[in-house]
Order: sequence, then C-alpha cells, then structure tokens
Amino acid sequence: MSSLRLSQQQRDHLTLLQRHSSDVVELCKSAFDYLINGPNPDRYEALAKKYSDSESPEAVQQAVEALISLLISATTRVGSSTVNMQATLRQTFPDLGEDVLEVLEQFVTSKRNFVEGSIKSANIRAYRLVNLDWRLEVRTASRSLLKKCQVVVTMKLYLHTEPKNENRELLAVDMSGRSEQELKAMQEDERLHRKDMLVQTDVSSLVHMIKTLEDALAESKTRRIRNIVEGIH
Amino acid sequence: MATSPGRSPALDADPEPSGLLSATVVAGLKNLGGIISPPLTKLLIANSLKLTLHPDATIAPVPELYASNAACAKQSEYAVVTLYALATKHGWDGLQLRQQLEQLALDAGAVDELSRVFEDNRKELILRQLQLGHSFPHITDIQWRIVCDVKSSTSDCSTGVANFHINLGNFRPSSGERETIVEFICNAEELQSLINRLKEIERHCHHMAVA
Repeated sequence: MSSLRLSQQQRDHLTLLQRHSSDVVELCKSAFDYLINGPNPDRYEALAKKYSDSESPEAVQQAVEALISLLISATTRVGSSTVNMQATLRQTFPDLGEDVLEVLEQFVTSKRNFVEGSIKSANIRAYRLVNLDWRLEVRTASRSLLKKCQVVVTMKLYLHTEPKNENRELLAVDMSGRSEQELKAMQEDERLHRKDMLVQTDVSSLVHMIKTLEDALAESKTRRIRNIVEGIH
Repeated sequence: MATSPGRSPALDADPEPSGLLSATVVAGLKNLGGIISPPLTKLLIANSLKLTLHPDATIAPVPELYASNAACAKQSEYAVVTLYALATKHGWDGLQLRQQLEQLALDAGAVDELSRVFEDNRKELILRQLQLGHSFPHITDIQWRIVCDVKSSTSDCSTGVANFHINLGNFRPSSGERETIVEFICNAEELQSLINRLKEIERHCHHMAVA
C-alpha cells in the first residue's frame, strides 16, 4: 500500500502533529469545524497560546488545512473500506507515535462518507431529483375549447446539484447566531444549486413512465450490470 | 377568435343567429361555390383544414386558387379556418354546424362540403385545440441510461454504484422531433422512491375514475 499523496508544504504544516495525542484530537476537531463552518481564527489563537512553544495562529490554521488535505487524500486514494488505513497512515507518517496514528485513523474514517459524497461528485454536478409534488387536475374549459374534460397531472420536480442527501443534512447547521451577510451568502449558494421545474403529463403517459422506469430499475439489478459495477469497483 | 366586437353594416343586413361569425367570415363563406368554383371550393376547404391541423405543414401551391380573385380566396380561407375553430370551441357537431350554415343562405354544395369535412375531422380539430393556450411542458416520453463511474478528476476510484440518468421529454407534434424538458440523475433508492410516487399518483387517478 503506497503512502498518501501530500505535498512537502503540507507535510511541513503537519509537523504540529508531533505532540501529545490529546492535542492532535483538538486539531482534528478544529478540522471538522472548518469543514462545516469555515476557518475560526479565535480558536486557532487559543490553540497557539495553549501550545505556548512559539506556534503562531497561522501555523495552527495551516495544520488544520493540511489535515483536511489529508482527509481528502485518504478518501480519494483509499477507495475500498477494506484497506488497512492505519498501515497507510504509518507509511505516510513514520515519525508519529501509535496513539497519534490511532487518532488520525479515527479522524480519517469518521468523516469518510461526508468527504466521499462530496469529492466523488464534485467535478460534474448534474441535477438530482430530491422531491416531487403533484396535483391531479381536471381541466374543464379553456378559451379554445369551452367544454372539455382533460385529466392532467401537474408535477413540481425539486432538483438540487448538491451531491448527496446525507451531506445536505450534515450541512444543515444551526442558523442562529449567524450574521445577515452569512445568511444571505448561504441563501445565494442554495439558489444557485437548486432548480424547481413545473411539468405536466396525462394518465397514459404516466403509466408509460412508470413502466419504463421499472424496466430501468430491473435492468440495474441484473447479474450482468452487477458484475460490471463490481468489476469496475 | 374572429368575433367582431363592433356591429358592421353587413352584419345588420344579414344577421347571424348565434352572433359568433363576423361579417368578414360570413362574406368569405358566401364566396364558396360562387365566386370560387365548386372544385376550387373543395380544394380551398381541404387546404384550410390542413393549415388548421398542421400549421407547419407544407401545402402544395395551387396557383389557380389565387389566379382570378386572390383577395376573395384569402378571405374564404380565413372564413373556413375561423368557422372550424369556433365550431370546435363551442362543441358543435356536424348537424349543428349545418344548421348554422343554412341560416346564412350559402351555396348548398359548399354547406355540404363544409359539414362533411368538419364531421370527418372533428376529433382531430378537438385534439388540435386542446394543445392551444398556456400549459406546463407536457411529458410524454422518458429515456434512461445506467452509468457507473470508473475514475474522475476528483477521485481515483469508482463510487461502486450505478446511477440512473433520467431524461423527461416529448415529441413535437409537427416534426416528430424529440425535445428534452428536464434531465436529472438518481441512484437506485431514489429511483424506487420516484416510481413509488408516480404509482401513488396513478392510484389516485384510478380512484377518481372509479368514483
């Protein structure tokens, strides 16, 4: 198993890991917080003071960012969960103690799903269907036909480009205590990644749609498709 | 449509019982079988119907139709299209159309032809008029493909799951060309949930039909 891909600069920033495992736990927690809330200079300053051996808040922030790079690299390179993560980490950081490596392993594996969901679909983000509202209507008259009886199904499709549902839940952080500017930026981001579509169909097309989608689902469960997917993986 | 809001002298002189057809339309209908000869009347009615049902269709040029009295022919085409549109809008059958035309003292051959063509194409005319007006994009076709990633610029390994690319669309009635309305991806679980939602709608439609 090869070591993880980290630049020399990132390795330099991670020299801060050569401490007691409880300090490393603090750094890992800061990295989690960074993923959700972004950088937190006050926290880094407090940590720098705590270390008291001439570490600057910038060095702490760089170490936190390097930890996130490590997390991404571990998730990217080590696709299968059966791979021995501790062995990989040991090879990447031969100078670190067992207890620190254990903390790092926990750090890398606990947020794996979160990072995996994000990076694997980060490059090409197609819309995902997340919800569907529907209404059954009977159109009884229009300008061009005064007497009619047309059954129409109107549907609203909620489409998001965000990678996965579970990530959205993780990202659904507490809104209280955020500045107006932050909330506005979050809403803008949400608007950019969401699209609602209003469409309609008739009952026979609806039946046709169900049949076609069931065919697709049945096809995906065939031995042939399973073999291919397993083979690729 | 072609209802005249004002009262023209022609309408006063020859009032139309239902008040739906304007003087211009009535005058156009009166040309049929008169100024426009019976064979050309037949051709003109057929062309007007074709134009109504398939606005994008290419209609073979008939120079003789416009050779002697182009203005009258154009007025009559307008009159036939309007007559059929109004008759469809108000849900007339062949007999009602004939009754309305007979009150206008038109040429008997033209009335026969107008009624026959209307009767023969009533269903198509209704379907055509169902398409008019505002509505949301109508889905009649669905396409799918199953895709599994191997590698990407952001990940060296496959996600190990197959995803479905679903494309909802329809076909243009005029050209038969397919048009995409919306495209999205989902995994097997999300697809199953979509199928369940659609089945739920179908079930409600069925209940409505039974009730």
